[in-house]
Amino acid sequence: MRSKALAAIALAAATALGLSACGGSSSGNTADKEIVLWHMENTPSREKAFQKLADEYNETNPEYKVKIQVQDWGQVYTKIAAAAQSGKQPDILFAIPDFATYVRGLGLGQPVNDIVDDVKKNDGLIKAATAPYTDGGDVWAVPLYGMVQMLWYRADLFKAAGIDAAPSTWSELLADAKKLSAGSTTGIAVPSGKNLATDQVLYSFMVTGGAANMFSKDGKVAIDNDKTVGAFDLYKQLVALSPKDAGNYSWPEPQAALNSGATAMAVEKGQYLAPFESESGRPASDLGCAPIPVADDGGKTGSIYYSNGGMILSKDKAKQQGAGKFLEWVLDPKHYGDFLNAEPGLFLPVTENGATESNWRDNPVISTYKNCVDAMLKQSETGELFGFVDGQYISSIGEISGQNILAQAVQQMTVNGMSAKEAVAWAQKQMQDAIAK
Amino acid sequence: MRPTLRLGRIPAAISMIVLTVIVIGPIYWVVSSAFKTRQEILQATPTWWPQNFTLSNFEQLFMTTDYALYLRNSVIVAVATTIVTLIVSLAAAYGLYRLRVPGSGKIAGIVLLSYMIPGTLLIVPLYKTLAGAGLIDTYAGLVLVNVAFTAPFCTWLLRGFIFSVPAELDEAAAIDGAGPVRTMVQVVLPLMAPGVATVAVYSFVYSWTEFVFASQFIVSDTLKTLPIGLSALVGQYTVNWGLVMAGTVSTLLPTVILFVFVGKYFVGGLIAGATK
Amino acid sequence: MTAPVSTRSARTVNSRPRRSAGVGRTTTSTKVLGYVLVAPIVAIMAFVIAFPLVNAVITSLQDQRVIGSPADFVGLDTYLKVLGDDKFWSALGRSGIWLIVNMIVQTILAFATALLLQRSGWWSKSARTWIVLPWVVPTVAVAVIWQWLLNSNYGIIHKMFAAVGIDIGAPFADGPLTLITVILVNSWHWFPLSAVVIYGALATVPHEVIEAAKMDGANAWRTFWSVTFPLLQPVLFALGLVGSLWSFNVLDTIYLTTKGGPAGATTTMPVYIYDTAFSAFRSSEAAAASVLTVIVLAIAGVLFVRFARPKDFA
Repeated sequence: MRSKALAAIALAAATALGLSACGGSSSGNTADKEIVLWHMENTPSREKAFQKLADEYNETNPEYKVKIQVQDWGQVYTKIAAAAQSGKQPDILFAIPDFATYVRGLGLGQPVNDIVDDVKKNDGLIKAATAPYTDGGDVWAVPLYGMVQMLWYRADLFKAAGIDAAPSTWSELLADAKKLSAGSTTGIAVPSGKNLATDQVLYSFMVTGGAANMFSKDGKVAIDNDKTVGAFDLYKQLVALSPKDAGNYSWPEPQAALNSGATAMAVEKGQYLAPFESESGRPASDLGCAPIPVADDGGKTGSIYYSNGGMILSKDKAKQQGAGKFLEWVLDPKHYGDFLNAEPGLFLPVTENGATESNWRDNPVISTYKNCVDAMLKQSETGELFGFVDGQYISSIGEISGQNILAQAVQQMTVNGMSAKEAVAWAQKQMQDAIAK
Repeated sequence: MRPTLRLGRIPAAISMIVLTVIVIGPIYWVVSSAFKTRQEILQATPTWWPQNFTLSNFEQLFMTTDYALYLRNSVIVAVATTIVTLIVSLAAAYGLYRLRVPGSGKIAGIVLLSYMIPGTLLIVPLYKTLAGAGLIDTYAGLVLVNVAFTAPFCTWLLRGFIFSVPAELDEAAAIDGAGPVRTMVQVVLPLMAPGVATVAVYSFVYSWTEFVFASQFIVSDTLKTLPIGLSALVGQYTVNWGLVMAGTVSTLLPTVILFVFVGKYFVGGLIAGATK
Repeated sequence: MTAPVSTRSARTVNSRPRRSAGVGRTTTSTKVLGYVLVAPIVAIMAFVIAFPLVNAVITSLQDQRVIGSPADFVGLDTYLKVLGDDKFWSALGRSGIWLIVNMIVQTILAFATALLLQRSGWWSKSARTWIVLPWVVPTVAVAVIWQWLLNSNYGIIHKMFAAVGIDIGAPFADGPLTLITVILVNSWHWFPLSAVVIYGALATVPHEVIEAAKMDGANAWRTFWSVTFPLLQPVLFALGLVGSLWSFNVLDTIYLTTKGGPAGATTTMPVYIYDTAFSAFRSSEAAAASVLTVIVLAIAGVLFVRFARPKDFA
């Protein structure tokens, strides 16, 4: 009798102990004077740089100290949704425009017009940076850093093939790519896996093909037109000129191919600058950059461009102010350079002051590749992002980008053999279904 | 141990070679690449042995990432999962298969049902449930979720071990005046040591490699486990291959060490009783 | 005090598992102890699996879009929508292929490994430790490593085959063939677990029985099929059942390599459900698809048990 009771108690205790004794819970005490910040830049170098800035800020003894919790893009959509329902959302959330529409859809976030006006006044803001967060006059996130795509190429391979200038039109691009395809080298490497990388590179060509706007004036999907077909057709040809397993490429593979010389060209953002020398073993001068080639007729210079912004999700007035203070502190020219150099070359300034800031410019990568950096800044001026073109704000864009419909359309062409026209019609239907009821 | 079925010499030799290549091959390649420079990893003509042997990837791993922290967290969660799984599944197996609590058939059915449910479905409702209990962002929450997925299989696994302990021993103990608890603790359990080893290794490895729930239910940096740290190395927009290789090796190493020591018990444990 | 392991198993292998007669008189104290022992697992499973499951069933009867957003009750409308979706059915079919091919490949690998592990050579001795390596590598790493190994520019496997004149093309990007590639990667990751379980089971077959059969003139194959295999059946049955369920629900291997592409070639049911829930933000449809999946698996499970169940499996 007693031993049975003892056993029951022992078992219950052991189970409870097993569960709670290891309850190494993280925070808990200083939650009151703390602002929690979520960002998704989880590569080690970026994490460290952001943490360093947060520490610096906290040392100035602000009323609210910043506590960073790094998340991953793969999980943050569910995490923020679940957090919203449990009331445990962070105070600041770094977002990209389509993610911001999703977050707003969860009932989180608020206009940050005051902060944005302040920054505009003190440091000047690039218009393209606030555009994708502006809905009906209100700005829903403070732009923090921008990204734009360029045509990257191996200058040494170009020289060896006798090409003296980077292509500036689509026909030149195709001709050069064919010329550079020799032996085991491919002329270009564009991704065509089912992922965001493919979406973005294809979109850059849609922009330079004059098909930047995917929506009609009343917010309906309207990509079924000749310009889009032209862009899709170009992309189909580019994939054919890329390595044969491009069908599963996302970000790392084209970069690895360019750095190892397996391909001569690639289209991507500024992350190509920093690792080039160490991965390729070649001097910096071998990395060439140029604006993305435009369509032969009806094309316009441009590229995909978007800024990452800070949304303020806190419902507490005092914390909102504290959050705003931190964001303005980050954008202050004294610190902004350090912020941007978390990933030099990839993170571009959204303020005019920031672009001339010596803190940023003195970074070895930025100074070595000064020409490319300036070219990227110039390209940013004509940058676009689908769903937010010409002042539009399509709040259901997340449903389209989440499913990588553009990438899927590319796969319809490359795997299922659809023509560009058929693929565009297919994509039109998919997008309509995605945002329909 | 005499084989119950021998493959002929040649098929056996071929099979051994094939297995060695497909298992050791990729592992070797990862390990050797962990000591190569980023450039050498990507070059068009692969090198079997690092041309420029370097420890910089590991250096970077330990200096710029919180690897040591992730390792500690993974160990804590894995050990806790193992202990709790052992307690819970041993108890359940004993109750169901030794003491013949009615409903063992139904319980077996529920066990199966739990493995039929696509895990995706559980993520958000489970988050809400755990949040309600204050278990988000805690070791306890992760351990609880892990145990819920390891315990059913382990209970089933222990079934055979329980049956292999002869019932006469229970009777003998009863005659000696031992109550059911003493019989359980002092007579039957000690004879199930191999079963214990099997359950321990299985739940440890499950917990060590678990990613989906760990990434969803842990929010702070200080509690992240190794798989989360590893997936962060395959970052947004760019990948540092050397770091990824070093990270993989560093995730593998602890379990390899564990296996070298415990391996023979695991495998030997399955010998004794994965029957019935 | 304890008999050596092998003879103990020998004694109990061929006899039925004892019923409760004699195993501790079923007194009240034994009964109570029994319930106390079973309580923790029931509690944990109720908390972690049952509550969310009920929640999911409720969601499937609504028209919820983003997880947790306000939604109305629509009865079976969502189910009808899902059943009318072509993609649902092709995902289901693909899952069937996924399941069958995985089980075939893994069974062959696992059996071959188990048989080889039994030997007494140095290979077998060393293999008993390193054969589990693929299982121990986190799936994230498995995905990255295999994509890297098979890359056409710097992947070693590509180079090796090219050196003997074979062009393996694009294993992860070749339309329908991609499914085979992912199945092989998945099998690589999981076969050691089955191998070790089968190895353990093989080792319990008592030598005397084998010797007796041999002395009766049976050759190796006959011995295996008429003597060993029947004794292995319970383990194979359990492994087959649980292993199939695990295999069916694999998500991360596929998602981390191809995300269900190219052009949907690797979109199995778990991938379909995940995409519907988290990429298309239609959580009610995902919940409905999940419930339908559970029903399909339950039916398949019942059939499997009825037809494949070995005789004395309780």
